[in-house]
Amino acid sequence: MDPAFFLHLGTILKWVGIALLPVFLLPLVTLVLPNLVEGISKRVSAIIDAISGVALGGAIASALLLVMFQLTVVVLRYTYGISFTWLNELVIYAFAAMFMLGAAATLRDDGHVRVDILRPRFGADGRNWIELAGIYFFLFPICIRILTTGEQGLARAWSLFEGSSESDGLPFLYLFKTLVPAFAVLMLAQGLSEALKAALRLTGKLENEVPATSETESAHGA
Amino acid sequence: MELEIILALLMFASAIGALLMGYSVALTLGGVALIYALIGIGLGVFPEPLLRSLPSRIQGGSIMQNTTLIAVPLFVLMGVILERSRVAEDLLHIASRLLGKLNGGLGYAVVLVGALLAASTGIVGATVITMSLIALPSMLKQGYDPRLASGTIAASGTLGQIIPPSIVLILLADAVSNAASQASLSSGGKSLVVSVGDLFAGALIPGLLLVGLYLAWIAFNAVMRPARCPAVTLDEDTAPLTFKEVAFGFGAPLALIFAVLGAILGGVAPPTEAAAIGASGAVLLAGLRLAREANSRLAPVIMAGLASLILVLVVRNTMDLRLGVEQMSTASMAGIAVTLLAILVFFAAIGAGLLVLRRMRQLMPALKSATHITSMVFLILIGASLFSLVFRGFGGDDIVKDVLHAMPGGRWGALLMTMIVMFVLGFFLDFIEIVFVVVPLVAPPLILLGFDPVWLAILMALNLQTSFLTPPFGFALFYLRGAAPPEVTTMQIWRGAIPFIMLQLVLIALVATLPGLATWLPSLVAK
Repeated sequence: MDPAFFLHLGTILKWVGIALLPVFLLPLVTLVLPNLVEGISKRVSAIIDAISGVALGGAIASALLLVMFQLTVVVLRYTYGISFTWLNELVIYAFAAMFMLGAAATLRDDGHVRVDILRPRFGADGRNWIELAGIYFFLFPICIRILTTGEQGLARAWSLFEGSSESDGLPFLYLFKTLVPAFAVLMLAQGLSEALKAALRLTGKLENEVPATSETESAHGA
Repeated sequence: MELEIILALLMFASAIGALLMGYSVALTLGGVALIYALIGIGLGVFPEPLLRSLPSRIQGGSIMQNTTLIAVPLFVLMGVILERSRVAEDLLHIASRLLGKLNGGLGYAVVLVGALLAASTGIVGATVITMSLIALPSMLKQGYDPRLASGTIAASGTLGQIIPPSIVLILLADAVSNAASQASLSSGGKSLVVSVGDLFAGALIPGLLLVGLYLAWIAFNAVMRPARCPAVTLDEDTAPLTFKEVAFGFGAPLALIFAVLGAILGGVAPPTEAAAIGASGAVLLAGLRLAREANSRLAPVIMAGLASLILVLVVRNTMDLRLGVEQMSTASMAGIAVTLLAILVFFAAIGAGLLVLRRMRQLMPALKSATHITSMVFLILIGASLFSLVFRGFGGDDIVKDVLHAMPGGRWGALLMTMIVMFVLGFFLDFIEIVFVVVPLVAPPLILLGFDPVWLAILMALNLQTSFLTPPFGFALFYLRGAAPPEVTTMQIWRGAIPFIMLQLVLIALVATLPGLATWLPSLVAK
């Protein structure tokens, strides 16, 4: 395949992303005109949640592959005294894919740790406003920054179809590096979905959930 | 004061303020740092190229290609699978039955199982919740003092932080190792390598001492005030434990934990490889445990897998199986053929274990929960490394160094100050955040002052573990409150924790005065 094709594809994707930027105003529109956009907001949020679910499937598959690859490494090294760079790289790829693809679904399922000391006192509305502020001031800027600063490096990796620096390594380093923008895009989208949900809750279009699910509890202190 | 120093301090203060708002810790840390970096660039006091390095940092050796941290998801998987397959529950039931006839017996059982569970899962919240749901009601029913019962459960739950193979010790090893190489770089001295194995070895003696101290406190109560922790009165018709139950419920998890720890401490396998063995062993155990309930015919396959594992071990250690040797004897060839077959059976057994888990509807929840926990940890790593990057860009690490070097009382004053700050941060930040944000800042100057990195890390771990037990904010107490029956008052939980906090302080003082407790075992392993 010609690298130029993928570079064009990348440019197109970038412009699609820029064209989609107005969608990020939807949570704010939801706050002002809840009745008008309720349907579309719920729809967008549901689609994004489903996409994150697909990515979670990829993360879960990576988790299983991680165990299998690492176990193969152990068995080959311990029993026969042999090791392969490409197999070790498969371990790293599966490891990185597990959390880079899983982070967005973890956001969806409220699995990222929060400081819980004052949180119960803010009330449901307060928590929703904090959610919106956190998404617009922290989540979006971080992801956009990762996307914009990573653009050149990514284009270089794809234009060379960059592979491992080791001779018996995997020729897929460019795909590995693509996990970073994939993570940023998934997180941006999931952030949008969470912002929509917070806006819908603030305008009474969605039930408030009870905070502190069992998922966050079991995640804590790991 | 210079502008960048003001910005660094403001950034730290803003981060703490913003964290209290309760938005995701990882994103708050990263977001605050990004905002301050942009302000700094605008004012011309922050080097912009530093911020450009963010994507390459994420995909580099400190996060996505961090070979040390590959052990984290594997140990998480091991713990989650053991928890889901109710191996943990069995452990507690059998231990209480075995020890219940003694005064204080249920208390001993909780401490011992806490230590074992800790060793297998290392997840505080999960351990505290499991034990409060299973052990607390029966302790209360048998007439235990609610203070003693809840204190024992909370304290035993925090053992997961210090007893290897704890996940936080892996993260701590990564942070301290970076700090040590940074310290040796700036001093020009010899480079100190701190491996995960070193920290596991270093934590073992203090961890076991802690278990001993907890047991001693319960024994003291059992002798002096037996009414607080009476022996269990069994119903007449309760069937006695069979040998098989004990062997499976107690022996099997114990064997798994010893195998994993032994492989690491004995230098047979690095932690990542041992973790993979642990995760697959957990799948086999869970498969066996659930196959009985599922009426599955796959149990023999799993047993065959365990047997073939032993076969591989025996053959591997009796003959030379290395491939790539020029002249291979016929015996070696036969050995290779046999082990290859055995390895295939082993992998088939893992497949069977996964199938059993799936049939009992535990596979997807376990994998999902492990993915969530792993994503949570690594998102914090991403956010915290952005924070550290920007804090360093403002010269914040120099401020920390200067403050620590200027402490009254010399290096011990600096150490005490660090410990107090970490203890207070432990009230609202998790171990993971503190390891990723605070340790990289304070550890290099402290190591430069001449403290041993392993010893320092163990002290920090013990310190944070104490913080999690301390009212009113201790995490372990929060979880206990959430899972405890309402007749146990919050005040009882708090008062029950106090004797255990005292024991913690005793141990911290011991390790501080006798560094050998933490450094002797790693030095043996290194040889």
